[in-house]
This record gives sequence, C-alpha cells and structure tokens, in this order.
Amino acid sequence: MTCRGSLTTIVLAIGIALLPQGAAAQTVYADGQPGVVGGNRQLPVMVTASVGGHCGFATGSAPSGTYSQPDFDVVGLNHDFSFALDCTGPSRVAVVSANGGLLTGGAVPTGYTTLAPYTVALNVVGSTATATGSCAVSTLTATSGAPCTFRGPVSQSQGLLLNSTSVNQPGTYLRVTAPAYAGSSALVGGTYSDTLTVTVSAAS
Amino acid sequence: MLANGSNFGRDSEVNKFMLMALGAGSMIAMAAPAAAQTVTGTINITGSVANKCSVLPGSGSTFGGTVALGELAQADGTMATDLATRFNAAANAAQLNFRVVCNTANPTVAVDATPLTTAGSPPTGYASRIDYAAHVAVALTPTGTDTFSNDSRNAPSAATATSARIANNGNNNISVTADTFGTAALTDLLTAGSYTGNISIVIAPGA
Repeated sequence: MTCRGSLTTIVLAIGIALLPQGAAAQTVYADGQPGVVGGNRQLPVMVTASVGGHCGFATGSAPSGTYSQPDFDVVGLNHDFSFALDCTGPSRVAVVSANGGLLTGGAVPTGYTTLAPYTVALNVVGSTATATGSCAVSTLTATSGAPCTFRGPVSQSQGLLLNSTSVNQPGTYLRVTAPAYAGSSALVGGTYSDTLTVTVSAAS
Repeated sequence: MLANGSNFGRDSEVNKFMLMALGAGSMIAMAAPAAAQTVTGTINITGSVANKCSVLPGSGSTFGGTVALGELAQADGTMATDLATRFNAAANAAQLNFRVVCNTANPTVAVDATPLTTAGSPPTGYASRIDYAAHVAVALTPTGTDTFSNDSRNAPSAATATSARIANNGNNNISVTADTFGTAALTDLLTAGSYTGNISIVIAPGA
C-alpha cells in the first residue's frame, strides 16, 4: 500500500499547507498509524484563487476619429474625444503624440515655425474616482526630455492612474485645446496634423 | 520502513517534492494579477493655416503713416530741392518703417505712388503736381533685401514676388523711401495750395 499511503499523505499535506496558520496544529492521520482505520478520513481542503481582471476600452468605445480645424491659428482648437474603459480594477491611461504638435512639412525658415502647440487633457471616470491630467503636447512625444506624467506607452506604472474600476462609465474623454496662435515665430501656411495614440492597461 | 511495510522514509521524500510543487502551484494561482494587456486607440488631429500676411504687432491688415513735407516751394516759387531729404529724414522713421509678416515662401509686393497734387489746372509755367519715385525695401530671411519701386510718373507696379520669405525677427522689415521729386519743368512755379499724395503698398501672400 505504499502508493495509497503516499497519496493520502500528499492530500493531507496540501490540506495543511492551504489551511491558515492557526489550523496548522491539527492532527495528521495517515493510513496505518494508530487510531486510523482504513486511512479514509476526509479532511476539508481550503482552496482559494483569483480570476485575473481585464482592462481595455469598452467595446466600440475606444478613442478614435479625426478632428479637423481649419484656420486653427486664428480660431484655436477645442474638441473632446469621448471613450470608455472596461477595467475591472485600477487602470492607467497614457498618450503619445507622433509630432509633439500640429506639424506641416517643409523646412523651417528663421523666424517661422512648422509646429503648432496645443494642450492634451485627460478626464478618466471610474466608478468611485476620477483621474484628470493636462499637458502640453510637446511633452507627449516618445523622445520628450521632460515628459508628461501620462506620456505613453502605458504600463502598469506609467500613465494617468485611475484608482477605481471603470466599466462603461460615461464622461471619460481626451480633450485637445489651443488658443489662437500667438507665438513669436510665424506659422507657415499649410496643412497641419498630429496623431495621438491612447493606450490603457491594468495598473499594478 | 514502517511496520505496515510502507517505505515511509522514501515516500516522505517524494511527498515533500510533490508538496512543494503543488504548493507553489497554488501560490501562483492565488497571486495571479489582472492581465497587463495593453489596448490602443488612435486619434487624428488635422488643421490648416491659411496663407496670409499680417501687420505686427497684433494681426492687422493695414499699416501707414503720414509725412508732412512742409513748404514745398523755394523763395522763387519753384519746387524745393530738398524734398527727398525731408521725406527720408530720421524724424519720419516711425511713419515709414513697418513690420509685416507673411506665412508664405514668396509674398508679392505692389507699389503705387501717386503724385503730390493740389486742386486746379495750372496755367503754362506753373505746376500743381509734384512727382517722385517711391521705394519699398523688404527685409528677407535669413538675409538680404528686395526693393520694389514705383514712380508716380508711371503706372503702378505689378505685384512682384519676393525672392525669399519676409524676415520675421521682431524688427521692422518694411522700409519706405522716396526720391526724384520734381515738377514737369524745373522752372515751373508751384501753385499755392495744399498738396497731397500717397504711396500705396500691397503685400500679399502670393501663390
């Protein structure tokens, strides 16, 4: 009965290992030991586990779309991109700007510029908390020396932290704004563009 | 070796190994965090800046000044010979220097000088019109100057492109001067009256 005895011992040992420390002093029964008949004692085995949460954008509610503003140097920028999270735990949201501003092609003559600044703000709504942040888009590039606190790419420790679950909560948005351009360097005429990449991840 | 014949000592070693393995497995299962999956959304922002020229400071569309030349005639009644000197005097700098910026590569400049005139038709030997040549110097970036001229004796100059962008360095970049003042005949006597003329300068973004 070597095999049977081994299995019984394993089961008992697991039970001990999974019990709280206060229960560690319970008697261990093994087949063949005094007072044990047949070795068929049933002991409760506590099993605890967790199901990994998930975190992403709610279906059909990822940030997307295009905002086009003619004559933005005169009228400025002001637009909200609404999106929704589907995170069953704390999450982080981060943003990366491809250009660090609205950029047009061509050389940059002295006294002129081909890059227009604007501001990116995040408002992330959770079930019990709201996280907000605002940064100049120049600090959202992958190579920015002084990056915004929510400059991406997102990780479990990088990005705007929402310390709450957020499952299809309304009110979450990314906002781009700029006043009429007033920089000392003149914006050259042309078509300007930028791309913002928004990422979300479970927070650690 | 136990009394029941089981090899407890050897089994015990096996059990320890299995216990450790299963225990570790249980810990992994219990400590499994939320999956650190990253998902991405993309937003595009586009805009345009129209070709334009602006007067600085501010963003006005007009600029100008007034130069008062004073008495135009000499004591003998003919036109004074120092009108160009008076027009271009440093005292008139604020009236003749401006700052304009265009956001295009080759803005155009057109100049139209109209003569100084007074009302009435002068009889023979008299003049009620003084012509002159106006010059508009445009500072360029990174260096250089283009000058556009028009003589009031001629038709207005056509819009002509600059050879480079207009300088935008915080200083004035448009400078107006005038010379070659004269009546139709040097001996003409200027009729009495108030004379006015103007230099019209149109700076446009161009193509």
